[in-house]
Amino acid sequence: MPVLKTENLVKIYGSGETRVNALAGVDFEVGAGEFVSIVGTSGSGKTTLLHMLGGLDRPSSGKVYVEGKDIFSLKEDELTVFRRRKIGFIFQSYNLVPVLNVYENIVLPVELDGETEDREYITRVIAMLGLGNKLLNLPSQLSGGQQQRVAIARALAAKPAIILADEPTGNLDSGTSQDVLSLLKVTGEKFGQTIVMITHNEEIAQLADRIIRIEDGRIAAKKGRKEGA
Amino acid sequence: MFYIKNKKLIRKLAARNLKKGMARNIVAISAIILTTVLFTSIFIMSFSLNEYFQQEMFRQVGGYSHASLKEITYGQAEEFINDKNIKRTGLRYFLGVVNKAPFDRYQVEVSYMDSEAADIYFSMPEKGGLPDEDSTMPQIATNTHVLQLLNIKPEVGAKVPLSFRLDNGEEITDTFYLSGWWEYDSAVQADMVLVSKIYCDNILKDYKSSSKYENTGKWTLELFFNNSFGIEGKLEELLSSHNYQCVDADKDNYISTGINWGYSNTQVLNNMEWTTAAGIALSLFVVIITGYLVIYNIFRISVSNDIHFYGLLKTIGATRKQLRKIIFIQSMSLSAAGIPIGLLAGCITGNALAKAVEKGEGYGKVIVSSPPAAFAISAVFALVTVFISCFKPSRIAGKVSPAEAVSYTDVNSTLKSKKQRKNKKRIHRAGIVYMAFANTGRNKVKTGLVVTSLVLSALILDFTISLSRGFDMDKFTSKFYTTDFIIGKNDYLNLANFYTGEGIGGNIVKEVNKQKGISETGCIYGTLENISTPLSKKEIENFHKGMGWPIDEEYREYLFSDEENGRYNSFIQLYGMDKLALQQLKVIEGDIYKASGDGNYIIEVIESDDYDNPIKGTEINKINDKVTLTYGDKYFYYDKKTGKEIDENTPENRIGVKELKQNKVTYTVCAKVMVPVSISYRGSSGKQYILGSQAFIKDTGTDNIMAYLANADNDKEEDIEKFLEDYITNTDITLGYESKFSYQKNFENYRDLFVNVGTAAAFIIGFIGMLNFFNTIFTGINTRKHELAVLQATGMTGRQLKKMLVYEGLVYTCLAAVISFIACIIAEPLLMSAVSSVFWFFTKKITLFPLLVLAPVYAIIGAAVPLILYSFIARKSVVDRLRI
Repeated sequence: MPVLKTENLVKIYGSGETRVNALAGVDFEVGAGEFVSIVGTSGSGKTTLLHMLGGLDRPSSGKVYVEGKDIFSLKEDELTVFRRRKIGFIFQSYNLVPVLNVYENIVLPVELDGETEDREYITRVIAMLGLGNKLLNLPSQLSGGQQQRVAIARALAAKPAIILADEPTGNLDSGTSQDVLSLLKVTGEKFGQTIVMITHNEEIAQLADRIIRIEDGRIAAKKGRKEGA
Repeated sequence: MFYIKNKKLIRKLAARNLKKGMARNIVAISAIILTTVLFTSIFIMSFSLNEYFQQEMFRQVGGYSHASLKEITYGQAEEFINDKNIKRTGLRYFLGVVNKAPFDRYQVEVSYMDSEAADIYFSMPEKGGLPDEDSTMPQIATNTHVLQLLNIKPEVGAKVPLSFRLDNGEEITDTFYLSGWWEYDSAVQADMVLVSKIYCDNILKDYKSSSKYENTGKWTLELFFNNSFGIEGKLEELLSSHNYQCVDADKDNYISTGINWGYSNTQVLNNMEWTTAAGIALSLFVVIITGYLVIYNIFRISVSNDIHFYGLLKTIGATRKQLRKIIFIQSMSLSAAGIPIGLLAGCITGNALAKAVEKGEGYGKVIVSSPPAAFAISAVFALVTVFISCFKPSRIAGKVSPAEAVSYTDVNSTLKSKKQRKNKKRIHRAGIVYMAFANTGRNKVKTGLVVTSLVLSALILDFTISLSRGFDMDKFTSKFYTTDFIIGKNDYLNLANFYTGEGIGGNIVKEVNKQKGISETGCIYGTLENISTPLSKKEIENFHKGMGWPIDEEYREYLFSDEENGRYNSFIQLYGMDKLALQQLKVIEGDIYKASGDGNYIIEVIESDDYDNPIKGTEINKINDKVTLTYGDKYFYYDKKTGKEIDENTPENRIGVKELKQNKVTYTVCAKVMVPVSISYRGSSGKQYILGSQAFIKDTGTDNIMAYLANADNDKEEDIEKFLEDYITNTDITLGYESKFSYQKNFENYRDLFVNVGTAAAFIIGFIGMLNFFNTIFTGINTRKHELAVLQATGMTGRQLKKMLVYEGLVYTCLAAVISFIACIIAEPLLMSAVSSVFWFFTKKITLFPLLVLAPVYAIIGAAVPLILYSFIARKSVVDRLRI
């Protein structure tokens, strides 16, 4: 069973003259442990797609299944809880909670769920991402690369079914971008984590196992990295 | 469904987020403090006034215990003293009354009281102490009135010879030593003389009572329950638990009881005027609205600013409930900081205002009550205000769309309506004024709240000043003040506020006439002797209807009992007036001065309402009508054994009746007038007529002066007032006077009260409004730091930027000023009409000048606040600000 599956996903903004078909029937599947890149130019609908995949926004029609569950059949609060348990986010602008320190940010999704964190697991994630000596720092005291590593750790913390990464290196210089992406890939492989990454950067997209290209709200072509190479 | 143990985390998030916005917290806490101050002041004032009226009533009643068990034995008293339902007791042992001259006109009681009872009866010596039980010499404690009547200087140890009568008629004369004394309080009806218990025991050793209704040798137990609610029920319960009752006096287990009607819940609350209640409710409502406006705005702005934070938490998985809880915890933390300070400050303000109110009421005694309940209720009201204020913002935070919150940085754009989006399409020149308008229009709710709170304070200030200006001194004084001085008995002027039949005596008249600077004087004579005139049934009924006196069956029988030729003899009130007094009357028609001469002329009095309009139905005669007055009783009831007039002790079988020859005089109505309250009987009990002084004395046979009027030369008014003050304090304390000045002072006090309270309220509410404005401008500039830097980077000069911010400030304050003007023009006439229907001495005056004064103040603040706040931001370079 695929971890993530979409069925004829449509999202329309506005009406009449201002009507925009952000997504015009998107179907694809992502298997467990897969690292998939969604590539597209600006305005192609990739961020809209990511919002739908994460349950942040509701589609005009169509379905999204995570581990077989139709996420939009859930009520808002149920969806919120489902999201914090099953989906990890990594954003371009990191989106860390400024008033919490690094460790608190990492364990936030777990704590919101009222759970006690799996210390051993978290320690391993922290060590792998090289954040061991920054745990008590506030986000404002970190560099961009460090903040994004915290965001990756936070996404991994709740052991979600899937991690959605939206231009995770968009705010980083090329050297740092490489480091962050390698870490994302390695930790993903290490913990058997399914990852869906959105990017406009072809080079970065190549790191993924599979690339889904999106144009004008539709999937243009699907090809695996190996196929494309 | 999702019961999750994450309280700690939510608390942590709330606390950290709270810590982040210290400036916002200070504004929010200040708003909560001010709101609490308003609530506390209102409640303390209400409680104090209530307490104050209670105290006034207790003084009239003569004590402040909840209830009393009267005419009991000491053994009976002991049964109750230790009852668990009784909190406090005081014991009184009654001996007799002092009734020989000069005490014959006063109620002076001799008794033993324990210290609790002395306190309850307002008879605790201020100097010295209660009579000593071990003293070999008999001691007494009493008030300065009794000592003055005896011509004894109040000094501890002074010799006091005193005679008093026991209830069986036995006279006791003794010389006592003064153990202590207290100041006379004219409101307390009975004067107390306290002796020791041993003295009572000695006197009563061989006492033989003559009737079972005697008080001598009986005890009174004054008692307090746990609280003053439902005293009557508690008293009945108490009695029945000890196998007594207070209903059937013929039974052996009967105990006579008294309930103190001075307690609010038995009396005051019932009498609370609806205007007072409405006033309190309205002020509470205004405070809630004011508090709501600012606290709501603060939380709303704060949530808008933190929307990214809440959106982020939602993305990560925080539920709506969790987000709402974060805001709730923050608001409660701010309340925890603000409310206690507000309670303290409110206590101080409330006390000051309560004192001002009591001063305004014209009494000297200040009793400020700050019971815990006032604080508890204020705290609850403040909390409720905070709670409702943060309700909507917490819903906004809960509803935030995670997709938008993580994508956008400009909060307002996410909240914009479709209509606004459409407007955006229009192309405008980016002029500075336009930008300023557009910026304030970005968030209409915020702008609306700020403007509303500024308008509210402007309106309250304007209304207060309009009210105080509307208090019409001329109207007030024309009602009360007639001549410079009115001299009368205390009973007539102050206490009973009704002529008791006792004249002021000739001495004071002589003394006043001797004073230099007295320009005119005149007497008003009064009598309580029976005088009647025949009236038709319709005339009697119309008169009662006009006066608003109900006629029940029993009263009807009495009214129409004395018929003569189809008319009914009705009792009237008759004045005799000198020329000066006649001059004070409000003549409706006719010639009043005819009454001063010969020719049996009479003046008809038409009753007037508070607004000096004649009351329909009280007018009976026409000019030149004949009015016949019958003087004296029709029958004489006498004691058959002694031949003297009967009294209450005369046994029924000895009462005899004989018909008297009455004196009848017929007069001609020469004028119709209205009598100003200050020279009237101060309470009417029937139709009134006026005769000239000579005719009055001749026909009634009495020359008791009810009131003596005097005018003084302008430069001597103060001297005369000093003389009168000295006379009523040192020579005859039963007399009092009213002067033009005392009325003016009363009036000014009353007006000052309104001005003080209103200004204080306008000031606090104005301060809250400013706080709201300050907060809005501050957060507006602070959150747009980056945007402002971008504007500067793209070519806007610092000067232009400041100009834009000043315009923004001015939009708020000028809008507030304009709306205030419009609201005043619409609302003030309505309000003034309502007020003038409540206060008869109020003249409608529309006042807009406070707004004219306030408008430039608002303009200055509108310009200055943004400039000052911007100057803090401008300390950083544009480049630094762009990096944020």
